[in-house]
Amino acid sequence: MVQINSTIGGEISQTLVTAELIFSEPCTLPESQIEKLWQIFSQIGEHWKDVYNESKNLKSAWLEMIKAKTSQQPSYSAEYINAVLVIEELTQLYGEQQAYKTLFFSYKIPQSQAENNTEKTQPILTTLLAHAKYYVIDEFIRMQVLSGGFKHFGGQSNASGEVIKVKGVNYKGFVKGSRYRNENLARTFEGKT
Amino acid sequence: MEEHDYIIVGSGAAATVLAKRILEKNPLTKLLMLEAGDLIPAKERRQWWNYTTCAGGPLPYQYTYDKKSDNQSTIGKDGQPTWTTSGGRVKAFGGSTMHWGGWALRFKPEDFQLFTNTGQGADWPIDYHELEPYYAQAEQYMSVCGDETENWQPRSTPYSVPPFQWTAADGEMIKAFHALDIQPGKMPVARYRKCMTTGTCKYCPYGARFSAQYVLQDLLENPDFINFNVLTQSVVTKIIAASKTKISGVDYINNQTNQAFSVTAKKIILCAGAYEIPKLLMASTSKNWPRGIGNDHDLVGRYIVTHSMLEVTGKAKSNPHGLWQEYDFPTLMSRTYDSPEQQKNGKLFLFKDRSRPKIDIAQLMIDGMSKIEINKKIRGACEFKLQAFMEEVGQYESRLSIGEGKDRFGLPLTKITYQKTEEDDKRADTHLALMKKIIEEMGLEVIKTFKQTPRGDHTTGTCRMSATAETGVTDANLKVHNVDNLYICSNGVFSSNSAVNPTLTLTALAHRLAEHLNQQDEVTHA
Ligand SMILES: Cc1cc2nc3c(=O)[nH]c(=O)nc-3n(C[C@H](O)[C@H](O)[C@H](O)COP(=O)(O)OP(=O)(O)OC[C@H]3O[C@@H](n4cnc5c(N)ncnc54)[C@H](O)[C@@H]3O)c2cc1C
Ligand code: SF4
Repeated sequence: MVQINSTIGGEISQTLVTAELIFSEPCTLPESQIEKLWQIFSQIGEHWKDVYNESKNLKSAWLEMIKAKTSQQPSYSAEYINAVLVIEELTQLYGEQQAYKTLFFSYKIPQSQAENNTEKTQPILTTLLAHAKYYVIDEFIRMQVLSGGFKHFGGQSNASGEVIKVKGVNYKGFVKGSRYRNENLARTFEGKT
Repeated sequence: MEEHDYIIVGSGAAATVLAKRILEKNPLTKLLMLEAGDLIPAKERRQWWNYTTCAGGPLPYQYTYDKKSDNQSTIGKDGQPTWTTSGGRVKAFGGSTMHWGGWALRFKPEDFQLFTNTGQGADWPIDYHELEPYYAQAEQYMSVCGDETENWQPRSTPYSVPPFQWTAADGEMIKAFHALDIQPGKMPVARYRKCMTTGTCKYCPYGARFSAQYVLQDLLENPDFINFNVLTQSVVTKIIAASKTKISGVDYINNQTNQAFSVTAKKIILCAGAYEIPKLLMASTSKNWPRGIGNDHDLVGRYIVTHSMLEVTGKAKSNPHGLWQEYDFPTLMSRTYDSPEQQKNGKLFLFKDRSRPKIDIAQLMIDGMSKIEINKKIRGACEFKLQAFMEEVGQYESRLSIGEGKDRFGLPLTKITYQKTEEDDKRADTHLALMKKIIEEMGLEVIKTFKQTPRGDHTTGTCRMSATAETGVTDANLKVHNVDNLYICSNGVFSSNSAVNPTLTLTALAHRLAEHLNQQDEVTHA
């Protein structure tokens, strides 16, 4: 059961900010920052066990996304620097394993109350921690899943819920395609037509 | 002032076919295209990453949509507008194919004879067989993939690309179709270049889903077409009639500089879509045309109609094979109820919702679920949805007119007087009952039935094509009745609506008009 927790972290994590993307000019992040961000990304595969051969196969696609999001306005550079600082603080407070576990599985961005049933709740992005989760972790997760992480889900499972036959073949955002028309590009219906 | 051979208003799917065909025939044609919107980058990686990874999947052209607050449609009993204008079109270089789904279906022969067959609506002044060769050209042009063995209508050529196979997630619905004697079909889609089945077709990263923008870009980059020019952010405000039968040109405003211009041409073609063309005709009043050009019989803007979208959602107790619709575009459809027998009761085009079972793995991870929990959820209860377009008949009282005020492009706002008829409501209920039967045949519990408020995506009828000036706005060659040099190429000219999406038919009409104009020009030059 997921514990709802919106008050983790220390001074950095709980610093108050406005909801919009933290402003920064487009720039190239230093190699060391990119490496730290890559460590954050790789932890997704570590914790959900949804990549083969670590995350390395996804690195060039991931780097392309980072470049696209930092080299143009609105630039994510400040958000990326912030996420590294937040995770460093969480690591200092809880240790690396627990920091990621808390961030991935128990931290929840607080949500605004919907005024009536037709309105959607909105995330309240008033802390640096909420920014790191919303603009960085969540977007990394989407990127990781559509780039191949999805293949570890779906299909049949054994009694304890473990996948025994990996069946996901295609997913929104995954570049499947083929030069060969007879290759199945998705799980297809083989029944009577 | 330099006179152009052609002025084309708008730069969408229709405009682009015409420009391409006219320029290919005579590369030196002086052709000016005026487009109200701006260039929105296509195949742009940052935009694609935003769409696929940011919350809410923002799309770069959404800012061009009609604002909800601009809607001046009739208010229904529920206090809501009876017609939804927002989200129905893109105002940009290349027009609305920037956001279309690419479903590319031919009409059927009976669609061209609605009045003869049913006593309702109107007949087209052309028939299916006359349009058939142009359907073939349109399919080739947009690389439509499909399965010709399904035999939904007579065809002279096979599809240029084979269809996408049904997905495993289509399986249970296909079985239900068979059990109820409904023929399943594969959705024909326009796949211009090599499709990588990414499923993000609202913003294709490879330019595979056809968009007029790519064709337009190629035309502009062709060094042979030295007299072809596209002016963006240029809003045409009036068509200038030199006499009762001749148009001399148009007035437009450049939105960047706020300057007004007049340009002249031998022929003018209006490709500004089914909302803007009637408004432009109505705004173009003069002594000769007191009610606006082509509007002596007060028919411009009348008969506005679109498809009613119907939906039935069913819940399955479990999803034992952990399936989802892996393409995020539909692969299963049926035209069994899009038939001559069904015509008098409103035809129905059935298709499986493009995204169900909807499994958003990333969102479940974001919500903090573990891998085991997610897999359990995927194999737990899930939803399937059957959707359909229902044909409706355009009514004389249903009308589009010029609203009060302007939008941010400087285009007059759109007022739509529309009320669904009781007959349409009854038909929708009958169709929903059939759709429920299919969902129940799949062994699912029906959890929702839904009739969508008419949305402008497939608006037709506002400048009907007709045999006489007393019954419509253009003739069979898409020339405005009794005017020598003004043409309309738009879904607005459709005399009736059918049950399927309009753009392949529009593209076929554009090919036919281009051929007609090229023949005329040949005679003139000879
Ligand atoms: C979400 C969605 C999905 C769709 N999917 C499908 C589908 O799968 N299959 C299908 O067949 N159809 C589909 N359609 C419909 C399809 O988009 C249209 O039929 C088609 O794009 C119409 O092309 P057009 O050239 O007539 O107009 P448009 O492409 O809308 O072009 C008209 C252009 O004219 C410009 N303009 C307007 N007024 C003026 C003026 N006064 N001066 C200068 N320029 C002006 C506009 O800015 C616009 O760029 C879909 C529509 C929507 C909304
Ligand atoms: S499936 Fe992918 S490649 Fe194919 S048209 Fe859609 S977005 Fe483009």
